[in-house]
Amino acid sequence: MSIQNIFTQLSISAVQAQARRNGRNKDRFFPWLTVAPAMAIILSLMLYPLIYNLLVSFKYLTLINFRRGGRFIGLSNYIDLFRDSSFYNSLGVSFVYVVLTVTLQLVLALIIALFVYRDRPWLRKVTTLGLLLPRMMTPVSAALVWRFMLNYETGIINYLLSLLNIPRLSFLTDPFLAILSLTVIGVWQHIGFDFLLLVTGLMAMPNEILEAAQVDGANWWERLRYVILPVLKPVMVVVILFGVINSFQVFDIVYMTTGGGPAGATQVLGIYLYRKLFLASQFGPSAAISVVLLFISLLISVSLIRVLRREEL
Amino acid sequence: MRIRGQGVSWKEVAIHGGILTFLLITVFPIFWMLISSIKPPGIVFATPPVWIFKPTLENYIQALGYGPRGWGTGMSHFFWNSLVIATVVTVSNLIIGALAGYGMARYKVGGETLPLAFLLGKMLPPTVLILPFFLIIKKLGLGDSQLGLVLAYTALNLPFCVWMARGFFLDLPREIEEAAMIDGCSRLQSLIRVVAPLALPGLIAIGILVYVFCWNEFMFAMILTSLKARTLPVAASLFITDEAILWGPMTATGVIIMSVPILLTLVAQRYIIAGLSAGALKG
Repeated sequence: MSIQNIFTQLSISAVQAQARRNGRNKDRFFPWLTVAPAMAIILSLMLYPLIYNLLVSFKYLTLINFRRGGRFIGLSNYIDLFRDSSFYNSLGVSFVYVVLTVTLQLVLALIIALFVYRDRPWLRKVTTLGLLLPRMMTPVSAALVWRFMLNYETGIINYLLSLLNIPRLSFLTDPFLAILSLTVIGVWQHIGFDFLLLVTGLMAMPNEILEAAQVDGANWWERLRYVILPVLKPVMVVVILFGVINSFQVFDIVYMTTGGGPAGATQVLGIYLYRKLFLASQFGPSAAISVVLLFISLLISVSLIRVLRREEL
Repeated sequence: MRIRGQGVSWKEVAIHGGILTFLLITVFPIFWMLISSIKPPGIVFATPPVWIFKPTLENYIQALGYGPRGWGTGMSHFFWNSLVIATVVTVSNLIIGALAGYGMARYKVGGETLPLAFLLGKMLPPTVLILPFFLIIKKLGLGDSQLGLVLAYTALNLPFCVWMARGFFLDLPREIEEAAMIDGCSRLQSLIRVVAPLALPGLIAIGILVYVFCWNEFMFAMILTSLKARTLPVAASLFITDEAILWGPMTATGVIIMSVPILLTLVAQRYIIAGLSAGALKG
């Protein structure tokens, strides 16, 4: 083999090695390039605001000392928050609202889903579409029409009640009725989502196990209790946790219908935060509320993620 | 049990009747708003309700700003704001989110941790971000600007986009892409020419949900804008306060705002259903 040949050979393999290295470098960098923009946005527009919020919660910060960055005052924003009786009121209102809406919408959605999932495809499709419309509808429009319908003097619901000889009800200004009205609106908004997930779960259930139970002589109730519900349990847990996340962050409907009233009876945590943010002249207390809200919602999300992981849905 | 071909069973009638009644009650508020919006202003809130009337567009004309109490040029301006913000956020989120979702699905970037971080972000209630956003936007001098809302909505939607896109890309077989690369496509080319078209239904589903979110969003829009960048829902919410007089134009406004998401739902329900269920049940 001539010297020249050896050189050619060497240079070829050098070029190949270079190409391979390039390829490997590309392999290493390209994947990170794909996620870089998303990570940059999440770090700067989500993580940074959350950290900034945590800092503000330890500060005395007003519109006046805003430019200079405020003054550290330790835990006193938190101490004030935990001494504020309206904070506990809001915690309670949110809790009641979440429990009522999540339970009601789960039960109703499950009943409807059980009726339509197997033998009635037409009814299933119509139901899915009909129940999803309120969820997609702009909440401000929804609040507007509900206020219109629940109006004490001229609302159609009080008119319908009057046909049944029931006296007018002040749906949005009676403390007890107001939270119930909001519950109905909340269920109305979110039932479609629950229904969709439950129907998807039911349709994924193998037909054989139901048929086997039928052959074994299980009646309707036994099939539901011992076959369907156990199979559906993971989906139901997901439905419940998503329901909790959704209901926990309710704001627009409440703001637009009762505004948190009467006398704080419907002041959910979102409204409480908003009030603090705009009625008080300083930002520290609102930041402290946000931190508490973040903590609660992290607890809910982490348990949801654990369910999703475990069940491999 | 159902008796096929021998008339109708009473059980079926009862089930259909019950569920259809429930559905009618569910969609009644939407129907009632539509009906009220085309009533002559004088009878909009008449009790007992007037069922037979001559439909009129008077409420719309007033809501759109040509009548005596109209909104002037406001309405079209707010409409434009809503449109621009929702479109920009949807397009940019789709590009950024699809790219990141692809990277995490194909190359396992960030292993298990990074996808989990996005999933956590997706479940974060927007409420906890409102105060820091209010302060940061103020600091940046972006108060009452379209850009401020675009930034906020991008942050709120991106985790959802990334997570969903990753799910859709995980479902695509890797071999298709490898075949494209053997045929001489670069990575980016194979992504754009081969993978993206296959993932298109999924991307459309994500896009519609993001668009509707931006269109419907109220809290951030109310707090981060005042007049120049105000969106439709905020404008309508300010309209709602004078309860006694303006029910007619108000219902018309409500119909105008909700028409976009409702029409999208009717036209693209397949995508919305796929998007909603995939977004919730893929862990």
